[in-house]
Amino acid sequence: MPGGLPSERASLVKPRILVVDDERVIADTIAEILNDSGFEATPAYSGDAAIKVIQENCPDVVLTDVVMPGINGVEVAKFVADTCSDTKVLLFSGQAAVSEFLQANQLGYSFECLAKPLHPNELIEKLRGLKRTTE
Amino acid sequence: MVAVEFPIAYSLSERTWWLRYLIATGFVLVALTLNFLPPAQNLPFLFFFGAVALTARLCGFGPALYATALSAIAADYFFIHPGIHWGFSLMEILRMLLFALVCLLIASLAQQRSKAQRAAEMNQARLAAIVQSSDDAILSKTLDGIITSWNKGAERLYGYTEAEVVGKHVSLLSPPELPNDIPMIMSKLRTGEQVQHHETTRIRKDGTRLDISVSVSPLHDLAGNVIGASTITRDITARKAAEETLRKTEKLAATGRLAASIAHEINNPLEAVTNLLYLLRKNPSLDEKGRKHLSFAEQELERVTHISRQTLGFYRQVSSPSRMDVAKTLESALSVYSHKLEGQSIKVETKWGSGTEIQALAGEIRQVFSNLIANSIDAMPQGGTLTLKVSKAHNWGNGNRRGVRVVIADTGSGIAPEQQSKLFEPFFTTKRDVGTGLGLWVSKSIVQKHEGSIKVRSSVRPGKSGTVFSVFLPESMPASAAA
Repeated sequence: MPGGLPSERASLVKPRILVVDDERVIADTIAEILNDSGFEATPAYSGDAAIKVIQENCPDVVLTDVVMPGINGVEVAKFVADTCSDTKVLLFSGQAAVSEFLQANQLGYSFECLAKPLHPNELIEKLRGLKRTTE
Repeated sequence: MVAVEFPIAYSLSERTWWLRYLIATGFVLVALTLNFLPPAQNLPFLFFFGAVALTARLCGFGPALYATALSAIAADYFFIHPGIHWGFSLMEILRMLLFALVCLLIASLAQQRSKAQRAAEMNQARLAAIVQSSDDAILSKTLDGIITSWNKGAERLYGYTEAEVVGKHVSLLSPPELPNDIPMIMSKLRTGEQVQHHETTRIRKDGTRLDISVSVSPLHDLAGNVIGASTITRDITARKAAEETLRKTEKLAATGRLAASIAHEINNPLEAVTNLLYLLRKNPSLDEKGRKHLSFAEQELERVTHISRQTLGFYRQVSSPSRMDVAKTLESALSVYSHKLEGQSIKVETKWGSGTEIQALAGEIRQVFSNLIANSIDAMPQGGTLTLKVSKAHNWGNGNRRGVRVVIADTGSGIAPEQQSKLFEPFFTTKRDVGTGLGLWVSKSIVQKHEGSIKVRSSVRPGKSGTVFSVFLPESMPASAAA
């Protein structure tokens, strides 16, 4: 599982973030905040929609809610891990969803989890930290 | 026969056999002597019956038979047919037989009684041994409450010896805050009522309190009158402590389940509102008054967020330890409270050391810092100084482990000494109306999970009051702690 953003692209273009959340207001506001902060963020409102975006073009980071109807965030994360080797995944949840995390870990995946509610400054700092680790 | 060691009352049956027969001979000789007295001469067997009865009572059946034979011979030789002779008339034979039968009966009865008495004595001794060897405290008292007996279990439980308490009033065992407990028990006993498994508190000789379960039964005389009471007391301090722990654990588990069940429902709206307020702040058309209202809204939202995070400390945040900069994390946690700090006129002093990176669960460490900062701010409603320091350190008490020390200090009202020992217990709070009482408990759990330590010093002295939290975090955390 790679850590951080592709170093050669990080300094040239804005890091591309895919924000996945079935609650539109959350996906839209996070995307707007990140766009104002030097990122190129795109919202997706379901796991299914997220996978379609990822299949077209691997983003640098996928920030995904966990509990979503249909394809949940862990399944999105597993898909990213299997498909886009350079993409970092951050799981973003209001509850632990421990069983899904453990299931994911038992399969050999390791995903970082951020807890809601997360202040935008914290999220921006986290993403910039990912950028710094690869520069 | 029960193999119990207990003191045996003096009994001739325990002596060597020859001594019993010697004593029997003595009794017969005495009876013979008494039979020479004028009133007894016409009743030759009179005192011999007594000799046989005494022999049976004290020496047993065998010596009693011997005494019977000896008495018969003596009676015949000295009184019935004086002198040595070989022929016996029918009457003489009948008299001798009758004498022997009566002596046999007397010996039997005496022996039965002796056996019964010995059995009763042994039974009593056995019961006394059971009482003495019991782990429970067993004592007896009069209806006035004067202690009349005190077993070894009572000595161990209360710390008083038998000599120290027999003759004293039982109220010496009762704590002053329960003045009516013993009178209540005594009043029930006077009516012949029993008191079963009454849970209460008693006080030992050294002044420590005991949780006990006491059962009191009235003692009756042969006429059925209540003459006293027998008390069996069991120490239930350990059981009570275990029950209290279980209650707390169940309370925590129930609270955890409740917290988990509302977590998802409340955190998503909180996330949305947090983001919207953040975006609103960037709106250039917002006037000064609007910005002020926005600032208050953000502060209140931060309070709700903080409470939500504290209650959700019950579940494990599943993520891998990662390299984090402690100073930067603390600075970031502090930035969230910038509006509140400004609103309460709290001055902030910081000292960030270098090289303060550790391997840890960043989200959880951030929660610890957030809890401590929030507590410090709450302690200074009218302003004060918040000091934060981060530096490399060693934990000398833990194998000289290398790590980072974080100090968060405030100049608030301080924490009273008697409250400091309970500070890290769940549901304990010094704040009225705010907080869940879980922040420090969760924080300590997180720090300990990282094999770190958290300590507090505080003063309530006017003019020098304040609280200092010191957290040590090792450079790396154990692999098992992330699970």
